[in-house]
Amino acid sequence: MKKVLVVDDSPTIRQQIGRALGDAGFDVVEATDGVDGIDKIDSDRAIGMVILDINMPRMNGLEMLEKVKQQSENENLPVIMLTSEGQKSLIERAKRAGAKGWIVKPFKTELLVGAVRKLMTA
Amino acid sequence: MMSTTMSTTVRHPSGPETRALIHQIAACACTKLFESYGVRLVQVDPSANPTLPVILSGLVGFSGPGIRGASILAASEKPIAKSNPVDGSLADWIAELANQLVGRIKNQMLLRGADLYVTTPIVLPGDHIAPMRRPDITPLVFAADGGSVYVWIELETQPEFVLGTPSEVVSEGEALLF
Repeated sequence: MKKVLVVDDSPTIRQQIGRALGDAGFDVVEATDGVDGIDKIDSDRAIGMVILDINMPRMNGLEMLEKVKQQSENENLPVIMLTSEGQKSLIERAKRAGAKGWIVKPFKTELLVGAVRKLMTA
Repeated sequence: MMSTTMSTTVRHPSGPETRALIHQIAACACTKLFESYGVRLVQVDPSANPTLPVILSGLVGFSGPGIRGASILAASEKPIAKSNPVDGSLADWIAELANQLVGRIKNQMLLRGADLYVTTPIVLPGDHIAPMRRPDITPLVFAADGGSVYVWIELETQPEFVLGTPSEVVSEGEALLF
């Protein structure tokens, strides 16, 4: 089973996502912001999907997404943005950078797990 | 599903008009936010005293062309604890709630043609925290089972602030796969 990296500055959200994905049989690792997220991806090649918040300190999620996708080895790494932002222009920016999904908080557990399953098996 | 409003008329609302609009949006946003986490809020008279002391506050700043301000979400223990989806830190959770509240306000302002950029949240712990009294900052007050929730909106607008072309917005709880 591939690992899912959850990048969010809120421990509550990380725990909520971790529990939902763990119950669904996924292996979950966590990062607290964009800088930490890039470190985790660089050091753990078993990570097969990223759930990524936007509004975080140090490096926001869109900046992290763009940096990660600039590396050719991450070209096929699926990324779902999970954020309180619903702005079309931000969604288009994420899509252009290579994101595969966008979920606006608060999220429904079954919706998130379903999206992860679909993208992990695509 | 993407949402947009129908009107595309550019308007320059006055400061008081903008404040009234954001208060109206914030009241609805706060009620729906807590409702989505299983806590029912009822808006009450701002002069009402809190039934229990506020223990935590989350502050998120925002700015955009011709507008800047901050939103403070404060609550007593029970509404924060009851809305928390995991058995975790209340301080962390009010930060996330404050962030999601401003996200909802931003999305509603986008639908009215105004863009906002938001800061990351700051948490202030302590009893009876409230801004200094100012006639233009009236709190939104909500009663909840076992406690109270407050929202203060600090707001300044300049003449260049406009409500114009609506942006498309994805609603809270919705998902898009590309």
